[in-house]
Amino acid sequence: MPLYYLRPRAAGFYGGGGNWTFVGSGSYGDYRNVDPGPNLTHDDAVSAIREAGASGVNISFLVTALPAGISAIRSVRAVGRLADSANVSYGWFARLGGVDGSGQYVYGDISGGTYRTVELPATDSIARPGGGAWTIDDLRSTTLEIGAVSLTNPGPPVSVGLDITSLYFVVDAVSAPVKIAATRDFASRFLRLLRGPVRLITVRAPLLYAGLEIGDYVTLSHEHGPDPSGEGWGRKSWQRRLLQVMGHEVDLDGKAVKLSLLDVRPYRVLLWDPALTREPPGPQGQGLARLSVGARQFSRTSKAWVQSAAAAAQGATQLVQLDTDVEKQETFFSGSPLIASGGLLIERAATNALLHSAFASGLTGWTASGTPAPATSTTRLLFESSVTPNVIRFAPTALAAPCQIQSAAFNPGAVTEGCVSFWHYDETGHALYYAIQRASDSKWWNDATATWDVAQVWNAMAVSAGKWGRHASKRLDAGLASTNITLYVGVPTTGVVGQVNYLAHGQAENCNYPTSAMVTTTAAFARIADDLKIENAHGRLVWPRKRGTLILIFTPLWSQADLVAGATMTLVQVQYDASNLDRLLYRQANADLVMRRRIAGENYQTNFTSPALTRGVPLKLAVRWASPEGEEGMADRQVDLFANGVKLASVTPPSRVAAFPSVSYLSLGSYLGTSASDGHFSGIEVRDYVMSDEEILDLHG
Amino acid sequence: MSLHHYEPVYVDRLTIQMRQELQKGLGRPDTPEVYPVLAISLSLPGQEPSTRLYAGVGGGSKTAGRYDGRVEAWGSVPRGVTVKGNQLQSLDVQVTLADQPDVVADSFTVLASSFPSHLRRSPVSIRWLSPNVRYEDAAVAFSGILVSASPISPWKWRLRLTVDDTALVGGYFPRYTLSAADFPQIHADALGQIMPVCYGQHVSDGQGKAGMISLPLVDTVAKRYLATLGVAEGIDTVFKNTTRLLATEWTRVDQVVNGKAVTLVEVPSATDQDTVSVDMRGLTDRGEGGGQLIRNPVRQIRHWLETFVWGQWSQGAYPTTAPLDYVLFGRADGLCDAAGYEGSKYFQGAEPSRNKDVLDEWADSSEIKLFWTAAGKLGIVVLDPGAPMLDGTPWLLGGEELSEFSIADDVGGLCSRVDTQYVYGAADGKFFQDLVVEDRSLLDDISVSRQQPWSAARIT
Repeated sequence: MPLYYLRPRAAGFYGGGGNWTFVGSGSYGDYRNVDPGPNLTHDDAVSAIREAGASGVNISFLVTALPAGISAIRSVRAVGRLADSANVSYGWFARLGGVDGSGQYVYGDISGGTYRTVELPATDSIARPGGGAWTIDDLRSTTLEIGAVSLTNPGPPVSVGLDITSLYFVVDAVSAPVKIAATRDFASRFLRLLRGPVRLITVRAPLLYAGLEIGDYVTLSHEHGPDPSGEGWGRKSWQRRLLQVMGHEVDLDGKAVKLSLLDVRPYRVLLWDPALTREPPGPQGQGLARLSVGARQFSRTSKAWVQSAAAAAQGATQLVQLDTDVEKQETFFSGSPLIASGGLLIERAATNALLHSAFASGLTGWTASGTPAPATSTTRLLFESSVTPNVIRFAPTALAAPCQIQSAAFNPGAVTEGCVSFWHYDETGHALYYAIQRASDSKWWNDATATWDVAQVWNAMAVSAGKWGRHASKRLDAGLASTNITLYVGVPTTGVVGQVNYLAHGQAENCNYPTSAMVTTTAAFARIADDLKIENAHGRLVWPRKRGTLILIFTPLWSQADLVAGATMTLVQVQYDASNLDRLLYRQANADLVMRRRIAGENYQTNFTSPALTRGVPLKLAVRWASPEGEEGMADRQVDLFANGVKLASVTPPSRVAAFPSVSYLSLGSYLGTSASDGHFSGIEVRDYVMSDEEILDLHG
Repeated sequence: MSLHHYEPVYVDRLTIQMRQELQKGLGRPDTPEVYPVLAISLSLPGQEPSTRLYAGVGGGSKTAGRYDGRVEAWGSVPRGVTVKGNQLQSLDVQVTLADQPDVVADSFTVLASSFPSHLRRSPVSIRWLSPNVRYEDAAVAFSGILVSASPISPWKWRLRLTVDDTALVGGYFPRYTLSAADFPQIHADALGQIMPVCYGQHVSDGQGKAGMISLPLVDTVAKRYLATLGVAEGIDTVFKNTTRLLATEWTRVDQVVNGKAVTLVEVPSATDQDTVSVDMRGLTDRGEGGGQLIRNPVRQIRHWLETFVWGQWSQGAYPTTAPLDYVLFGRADGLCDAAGYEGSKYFQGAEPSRNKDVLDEWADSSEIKLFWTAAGKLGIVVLDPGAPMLDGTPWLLGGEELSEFSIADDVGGLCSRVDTQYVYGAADGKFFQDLVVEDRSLLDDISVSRQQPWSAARIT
């Protein structure tokens, strides 16, 4: 139960004046210094704030910000050290601004004239103004107000004498400790070593090798080394097996040394991010094993909503809210035993223009009609309740008219292309429907033909019987830029009386395929692009120059037909400068996946068009590049590209990049937030050696 | 097929002369002439310190002196670490000596029979001597002490040798307990407790802000609480019954009590029933005070080994020597610096811990392995999947060069998920944080629990 103390920002609280703001009208009394922080009992009437004000006066101040790394708020309490100098039966209140206009009042009887510490409420939490659970945002930019109030009249402040020497919030939050990365390192090293059989090779070597020490690396050539070639571990430097000394036994009689050697080839990695976990996403990165020789930097200056892996592991679906700069980690499970898929989601910027998309304020912004009209429900929630406590329930008992909800007309903005999508739950196994009408010519979207029709078209969503599912429209064509549209969701007259459906979220976004949920209330929500980069510095190269292998699994949110003309989707990019870079990308124009090595402004690339990339279908990719030593029979500088364990294409640039900056970055899923891949990544590894065909096939076949 | 037309590998820890000798037959002509010699350093009553040398056959060298051909069997020197554990492994070397019955005067039998207790724990070493290599350049195969010399038949002795780990397996930490001799006004609850020692920084800001460490009351009159043996870098915040005190309500006091430097916190308003806890920064790299807080976990354990295990520090400058392989410690130290690793530990409680248990706990917490080197020093290695490969990595060749070759896959103890508890709050006696890492691409679902009692104890 990490507790955080949000107290008045020091300058204002210590010195008075400065940062204090008086809310309301009227005069206020004497206030000077107050005690400087939480858990203090320095009762000093002289240094107290005296709230002697007239009616309508109270004191307000900003509280300190929550530290980074908070993943959730469990409770919020207000604590004050107070005395009612007038010795009358009055209380005090704390009010949170920034959440809604009314704030939240809590009361305590502080009559008696002596200082007492009052915690409000004594147990549990102050209820969040506006309902729902407290969010991190509530406490990041709020004001805390304090004032006097009549116990019998929980209204705005009234005149009373009140001395305050300490005042703060106590926030019970889920936090991240300092140096969590070190613990992740330790645990990940342990996991990396013990996630597969530990292979020990024992050799008896000449006494020359008695000079080796525990922990030293050695390479070994041996005709009996288990190598797919059947020729053992050869003599070329890349054919030798890299081992690390774990045991060392000098045979004094036999004048030899027996070495116990750990096969470190499967262990060695410069970057490792399996990115599949059954833990829920959050700032602590629970469940995520990671190893990297370079520092990881992630940014996204907007919130996000993704599926919880914890719920998915239980066969359920829940969307959770992530704060800014928290990576979107989604793992999906299927089959038995459970097969995990998904991974780290990297997306472009996008906007949901549909207001009140998740019904956080019930049917505000929507018009309901039917018999009976759809209504809010607090059961079968899709989102965690702090995002929205509601879903909409459709349960028609008669269908003389549609049982529907209708959005207000909204302008999808500069969208010329896009899609709409809905999270729905079909309890009785009957379809839920949607209709879209544009204002410019009053025509209706026909999803089957992808045309705008004169007559209303109810488009059936694919049935998601007894579970939450997401239905997306086809790519909406041009024609939306300068017109409003209105969405309808419901059961048309052709539906089934007695069917029951739920709707949790709607999205009208400027993307041709559905991306992660964007929750709106009174304004459109603009998601900022994800930007993940890993430092690639001299001496700590995460992207080796001479030789190496990249492996990853990419699952796109899109198919070729979804992409706009000329789109490029960056999977991996290592840029030294504009003229020298490595880039793995997908090109809409050529419908191909490309591994590009740009040297001195010239592109050398290998590409393939088959297998095609398909929405939701994982593609296992590997790229390897060789040194002058010609690893695995490759030519010097040769670059090979593999898909699903099969080598598809090669290219051999005529030279290498000549000069490198001291620090560059490996960008994953986009390049500095641009040309995002819009997809999930998992099984990410960069190794400092060239993996063989067989190793890649074994991993990805 | 010749296996040796390659450039000679560089094998560390051998002198050039010794390496050249051992490379004979491996890229150099001839065969190496080397043989092991056991040296026992003796300090016998009434005699000058001396060294007895034993080999398989008798002989002598200009620098080493005469050695007797008494060794009948050498056995082996097994050293190592376990891949799946981090416990320091001891080692056991057994050498069989056979006296010649007609040479009574210089026999080992007479020596062992005359001075059994003095012989025990004598320093011993085994070196590879060569007529072509100076004694000082001879490779060391083992360095340690004589544990026992047992007769196995007339004129025949089995010598058991091991590393000198007495300070680890026989020593306890902390050495001092809280006593009335040091603190005449000590509270009864604190009496007999071990004297606390603080490493690293302990911060409870995000953990209830009530102090990570609770302190024993050692002066009920002056209301003084003992923070640590030694000079702490800083006492940051003091709490009384979890209520934070103003800076004017407590005072840090540095004292030397019966030769022991201690850091105390004086809280005049406290009663004997109050609990006083602190957030603090522990020992620095200067025993006299000043210096910088030791944060790096490898430097922490090195300091602990030098200061409290092989040193008997209580005040003044810290000792800086211990049987550690400082090259290896430096390498591990640098890795921790580069990775930003940090450690914290607060020793307190009723019972001291065996030094080796402390060391093993640290190694397991830090996922670092310790071992004994051939020179009888404590070595250290971090299994680092991203360790850079250096040119000149020794190259072993199969066939003629390697007379044995076997492969074993160990599938025991594998896992797909590691659940680690960390951030230990000494005041609460529990871990505050959990971190799970897993690889769900594996079909096996096997969880392993780990603890990091030496992890950074900061939640801010």
